Amino acid sequence: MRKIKEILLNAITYLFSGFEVLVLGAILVYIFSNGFSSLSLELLTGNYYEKVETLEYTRQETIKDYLNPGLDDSYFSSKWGISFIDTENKAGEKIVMINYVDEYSPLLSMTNSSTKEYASLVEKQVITKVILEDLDGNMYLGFAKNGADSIAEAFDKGDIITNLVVTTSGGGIRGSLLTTLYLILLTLLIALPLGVGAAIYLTQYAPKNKITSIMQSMIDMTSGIPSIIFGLVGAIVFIPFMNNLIGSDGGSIASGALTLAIMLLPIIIRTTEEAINVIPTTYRNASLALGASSTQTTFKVILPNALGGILTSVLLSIGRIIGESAALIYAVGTAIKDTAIINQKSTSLAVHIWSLMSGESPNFELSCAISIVILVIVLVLSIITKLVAKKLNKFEVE
Amino acid sequence: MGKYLTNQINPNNIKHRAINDKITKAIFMAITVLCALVIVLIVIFVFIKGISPFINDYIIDGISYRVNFWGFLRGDFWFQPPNIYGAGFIIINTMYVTLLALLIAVPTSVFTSLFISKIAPKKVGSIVSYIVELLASIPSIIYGLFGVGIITKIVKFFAGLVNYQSAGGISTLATVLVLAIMIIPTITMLSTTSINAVKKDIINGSLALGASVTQTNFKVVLTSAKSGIFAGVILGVGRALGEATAISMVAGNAGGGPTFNLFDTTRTLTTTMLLGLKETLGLDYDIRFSVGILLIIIILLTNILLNVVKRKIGKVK
Amino acid sequence: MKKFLNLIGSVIIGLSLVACGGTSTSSSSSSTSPSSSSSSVNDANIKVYTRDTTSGTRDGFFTTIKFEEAVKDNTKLVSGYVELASNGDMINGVKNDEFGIGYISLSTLETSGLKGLVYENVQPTEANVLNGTYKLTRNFNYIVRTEYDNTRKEQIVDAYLAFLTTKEAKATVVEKHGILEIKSSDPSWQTIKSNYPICNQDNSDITIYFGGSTSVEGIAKALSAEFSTLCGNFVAEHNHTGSGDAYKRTQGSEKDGASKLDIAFASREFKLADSEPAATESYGKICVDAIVAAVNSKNTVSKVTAVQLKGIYEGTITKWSQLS
Repeated sequence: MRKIKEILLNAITYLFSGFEVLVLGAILVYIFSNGFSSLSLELLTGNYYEKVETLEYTRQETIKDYLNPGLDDSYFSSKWGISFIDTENKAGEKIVMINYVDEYSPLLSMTNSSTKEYASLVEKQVITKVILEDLDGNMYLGFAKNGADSIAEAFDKGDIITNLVVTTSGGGIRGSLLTTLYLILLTLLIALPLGVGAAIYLTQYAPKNKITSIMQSMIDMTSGIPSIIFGLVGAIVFIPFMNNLIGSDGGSIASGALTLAIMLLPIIIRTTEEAINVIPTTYRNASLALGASSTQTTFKVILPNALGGILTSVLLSIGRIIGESAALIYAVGTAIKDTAIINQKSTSLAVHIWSLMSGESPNFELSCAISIVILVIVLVLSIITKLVAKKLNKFEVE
Repeated sequence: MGKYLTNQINPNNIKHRAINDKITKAIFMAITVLCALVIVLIVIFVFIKGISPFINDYIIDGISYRVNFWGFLRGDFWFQPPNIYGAGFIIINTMYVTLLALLIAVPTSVFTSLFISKIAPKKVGSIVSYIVELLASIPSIIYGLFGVGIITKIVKFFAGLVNYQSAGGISTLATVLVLAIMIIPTITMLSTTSINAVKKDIINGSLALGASVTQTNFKVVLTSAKSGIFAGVILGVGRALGEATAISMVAGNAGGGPTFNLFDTTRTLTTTMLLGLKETLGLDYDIRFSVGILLIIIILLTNILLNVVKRKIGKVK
Repeated sequence: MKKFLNLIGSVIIGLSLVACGGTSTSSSSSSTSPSSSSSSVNDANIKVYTRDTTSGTRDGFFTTIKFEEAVKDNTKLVSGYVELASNGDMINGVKNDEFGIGYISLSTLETSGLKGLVYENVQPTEANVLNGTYKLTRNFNYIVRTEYDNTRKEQIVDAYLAFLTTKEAKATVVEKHGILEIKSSDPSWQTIKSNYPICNQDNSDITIYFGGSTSVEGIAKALSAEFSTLCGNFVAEHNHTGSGDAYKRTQGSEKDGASKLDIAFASREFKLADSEPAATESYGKICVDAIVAAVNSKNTVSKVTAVQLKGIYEGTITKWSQLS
């Protein structure tokens, strides 16, 4: 009887642990399967916003008859020598794409309305609308929503192109990648000196009295506050502060960095304190006995030996910054940008996902693709943390 | 060498270094005081902004309003224009989902940590331990995506089984499941450390008295690691109460409540603060800070309460 | 032993809670009939989805079906409603719920994957909107800021308003499913752009802020992206939060706040007489749009009347089977 109960109990532990493994597996499989197809170099380096180009073509000299290359499912305009096809973009929306332009087509020498430079229509460009006129002044409109055939038809009827809009798809995360990087650098720049400084004071200089222990508990209490509250504070304290300091308008990467910095202080302080506390007191005493001042001792003896712990705290902080969303939503905002400028709003990778999912048309595939990027970074960080812990832990007591 | 020694014993240099030391100490102390004051800053500012709806006048459509404080605390409907806000049901919802999440998370975590430390072969144990660490470092937004993608579908399926309609899976149950999955790694990691720290002599003593390995594991080890496990639970509770992004994607933000039905949408303190954030001025914005005050108070109270309980059960025989 | 009992206890509680999910403890309604889980949509309760109170679509919807009390007040709605913050969220909500009903902009119906219900015996199509038979219509309007701190911005906005009258802009609106007529007498941007020399300058250092209705967001983004290429490549930043913020953030109480806008859109008329006294010449119509009552594509119901819609949203009609 007892044997059965024991086997049962052991089985249950296997079951629950298996559940954990299952959950991780499910998350990874789900994110990877949905996001992998959207993952590409263009995703990482491209703009988020579509690039729209307005082109015009003012005169057509000779009306030729171009030869139809006869591509499948395509609609050809013999007047202009261009072929269109109905297809879908990465988000699954219907679009009309150009899949052939005759080498003598006048469409190779159009003008870009904004830059006034030469522009040509090329394959793979997505066309959204076109307005043509014939020589009698009649207007013909072609809309992508009506399909490639309607666009080809409009082209065939008109002689002058007054307005043509092509887009190159966006969806890239370059802006958010840069923003995340800047956030990490700026936050650590603010938080590390403060955190390490406080840790040094608490372990080396502070007298063992009530005030010190109160300060220590206050710092510990800060780690129990949810990140969204830090966001609230960032919104009412750091945003106005930065507005005055660097002339930002509302949230900025700077206000986000300040918010993250106060959020990470407890982690940095505690990890550094632990690292300092394992340094044998003999090191410190020997240094002082040799005549070094306490300042010299701190900077030349204690700090170098605590480096492992400080590095660990840096890695932990980076992980936390990358994963943080609620605080940044309040303290910075959710406007996705293609550039990262310190005194302007932008999104980190995690907030980018939030912005996508809570906007007009939640794009699951893109969100999962960005998640893959985050997961890879987190995985690499965790491996590095383990290596650092092993290598620099020379004071580990067996 | 001579120059160095002369430098060391030169009285001017010694005075210099003493002043240096004083300055450095002062700087470090100032830094520490600053860090300690952060929490004061947080509480003060959130409080000032959050108390404002109750004591200041807000002008909406030309008429000035305030929010009734007691109505806010007891209310069962979040918003009735122009100035009636109620958060009472939200507090109940928050505690409810946290409790349910704990019911799922605590057994899972304890069994898993027992598995990692005692029952599994070394290699398997460390693999599972690593998996748990990875789970702990996954950002909450990814848990949110997972929740929307898979957990809501699972909930929809179960709702279908009992013939109840959910809003496409967005429900209390989805919230509870996502929370549970998120706090399990936290509790597991702390419990594992705790179980690993149980003194060998206690284990050996139990084995020597004739208890089987399993009996020892379940009765003796767990009891000795009680307070460490409980510390993990406290941390887990803190995480569950404060989680915002992940559950905002699966909770639904119900208008009124409280919601006890697992398949209905719910609203917690954190989802109220995060969802529908459009304005940056005005009553709707400031009231979120009032909800923030409630959240801070609730977390403080549960922490104190749980710590008292922890002290009581922490006595190892 | 204790842990084991703990476990069994939690499993039992868990299961009982799930089972209790079938009967209601709160005030929401549920079905207790023992039909099979693969019951038809007809047996099921209607799950109501609505937009939040700043939405112009919500305003238009409830006003037209004669349920004005619910425009600003959620307490008038049947309990268990799901409130969503944008047109896109509404589409996703109903797409995931075979028993759901919501209301969306006609301009987003085709790409939504939802089924638009026939309203008062009229199909929700652009043609029926143009010929006046489909009555759940409303205009998409724009409103602009009147006070600027930067003359170049003011000139760009002026140029934008002129752009709205051109064939090119109108074609873009039509491409994004806005409903309007393009006449050959409409000016072309090429002919009027000489009146707006600001557009020949490089404006890439200027950011113009757009916002307002989420139903108009697609049209607004397409217009600003195209116009930016025609007017010095200014940066267009969009922050759509609902029609209620259109007047508020351009000329109203938030016009100088952190989320101020230069050009905003609304999917309803501005309340010129009371809360939104917009300055003359600062607002106008972009196109016509319609609101469509939408259900999941698996739903067999295909038509609905205003009276039925009101009944559904206030809770007097609760089952799909009650809609014959």
